Amino acid sequence: MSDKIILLVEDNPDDVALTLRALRKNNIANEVVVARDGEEALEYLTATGRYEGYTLTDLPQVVLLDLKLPKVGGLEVLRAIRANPQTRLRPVVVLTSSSEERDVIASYDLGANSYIRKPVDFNQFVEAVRELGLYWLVLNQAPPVNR
Amino acid sequence: MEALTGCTRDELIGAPFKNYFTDPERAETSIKLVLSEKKVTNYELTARARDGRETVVSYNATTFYDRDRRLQGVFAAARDVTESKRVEEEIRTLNAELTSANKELEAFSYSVSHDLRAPLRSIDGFSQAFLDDFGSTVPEEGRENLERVRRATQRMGQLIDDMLLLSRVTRREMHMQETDISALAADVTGELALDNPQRDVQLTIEPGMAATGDPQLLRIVLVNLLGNAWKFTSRRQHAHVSMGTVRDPEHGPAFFVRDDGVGFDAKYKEKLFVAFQRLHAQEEFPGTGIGLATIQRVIRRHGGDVWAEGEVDRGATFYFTIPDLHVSCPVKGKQP
Repeated sequence: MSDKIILLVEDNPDDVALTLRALRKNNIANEVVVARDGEEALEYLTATGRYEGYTLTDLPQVVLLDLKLPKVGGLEVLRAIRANPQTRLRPVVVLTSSSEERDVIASYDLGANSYIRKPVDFNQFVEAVRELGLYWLVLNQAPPVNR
Repeated sequence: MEALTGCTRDELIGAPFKNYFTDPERAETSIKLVLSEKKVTNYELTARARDGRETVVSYNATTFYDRDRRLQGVFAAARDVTESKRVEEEIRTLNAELTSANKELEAFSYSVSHDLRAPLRSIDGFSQAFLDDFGSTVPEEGRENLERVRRATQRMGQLIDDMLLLSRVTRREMHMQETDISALAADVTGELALDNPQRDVQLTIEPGMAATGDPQLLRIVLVNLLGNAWKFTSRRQHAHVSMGTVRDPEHGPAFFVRDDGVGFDAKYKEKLFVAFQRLHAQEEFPGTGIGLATIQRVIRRHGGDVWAEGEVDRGATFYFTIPDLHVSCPVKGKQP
C-alpha cells in the first residue's frame, strides 16, 4: 500500500506534524504530500504551477482536506476537485476542527466522501487516523486514474 | 382633506385630486379603479401637505348611482394609517437588526468552533508526543504534571463543545413534529448502556409518551437528563433510572426523569440551571455545568418549563413540560 500517495491539505504546521506523527504511530508508511493552502492542493492535483511536470499517476489515493485554509478555502478546493474531470473521482476526506452543521452539509453537498472532526485528545486522533488509513488505503478500492 | 393637505376648503374644490399625493400617478389610478371596478379597498396613498408633512392613508371608495342607475359620484374615505405604518417600519428595522445580530453570533460561534479548538489539539498532541518520546527520562512528577496539562486541555475542549451546543440550540430554527418520546428515550438509554457496559442500571420507560417538538432538540434534552441520571448513579452498584409522565399540581402534565443517585441539596436547586454552576467537584463527577442550562433553553423555546427535586444521597427527579404533551395511557393522577 505504500506506493499510494496521501495528499494532506493543511495550513497549520502543528496539525501537519501531529497528523504525520499519527500516521507514523500507526505504521502507515505511504508518501504524504503536504499542501499548505488550497491553491497548492489544486496545483498538485492538476500538475500545474509548483507541480508542473508531475504525471497523473501521482494522483493521491485519498485527499485529507482541512476546511479553513488561506487563499483558496477547503470547500472551494473540494468544488474544484469535483468540477475537474481528471480529479472528480478522487476520494476526499474532510478532516477539520469544527462540526458546525453548515460545514458538514456543505462538504457532503459538494461531494465529500467522508467528514471527520479532529478530536482534541491526541490519542483519539491517533485512533481516528488508524481507522481512516485502514479504510481508505487498504479496504477501499480507489477509482483508476484516467489518462 | 384640509388637515391632510394644509389647504383651505376653497382651494381644494376643483383642484385635481392627484396633486396632493407623493405619487400622483398612483392617486390617478385609484380614481380610474373606482370608476372601472365600482370600488377600491385599502388602497394606500401618501398625502403631502403644503408644509411637506406626509400622511399615509388607506383609501376606500365606492361609486353611487341614482334610481336610473346613472353614476352620481364617488363616496371616498381615507383613514390615517401613518402610525401603524411607522410601527410596521419599526418592526422591520428591529427584525433586520436582530437578523444581523444573529448572523454575527453565528459567525462568532463558527470561528470559536474552528479556531479555538486548534491550539488545544496542539497542546494535547505535543504533550502526548513529549510523554511518548521522553517520558522515560522524566521524573514521575513531571509526567504527572504533563498529564494534568492534557486533562485540562481536554476539559477546555469539552467546555467549548458544550458552549457551542448551548448557542446552537438557541439559534437553531425549530422543526416541529410529532415526536415519539418513549422511542427517543429508549434510543438514548441504549447508547448510554453501550458506552457504559460495566454499569448495572435498571431502566423503566413509560410506553406511549409523545410530544410535538423539534426531535433533534428534544434528543439533546434526553441525552442530558438521562446522561446525568447515568452519571450521578455511577456509585450505585444497582442503579434505577426511570422516565415517565406525571400530573403536576402546578404545571399540569409533565415528563419526569428520575434516578436513585447522589441527588443534590434542595437549597441549591435554583442554581442547577445556571450555566457553569456545578454542585459536584470535578473529581467526583466530571462535567462542564452547561448541560442543564442547555436543556432549559430547549424547553423554554418549546414554550415549556423545567424544574428539579432532589435530596442528598436520595436521588434526583427532573421534570419538564411541553405544551403539546400526550400519552397513550392516561396521565396518572398522582406522582409515582
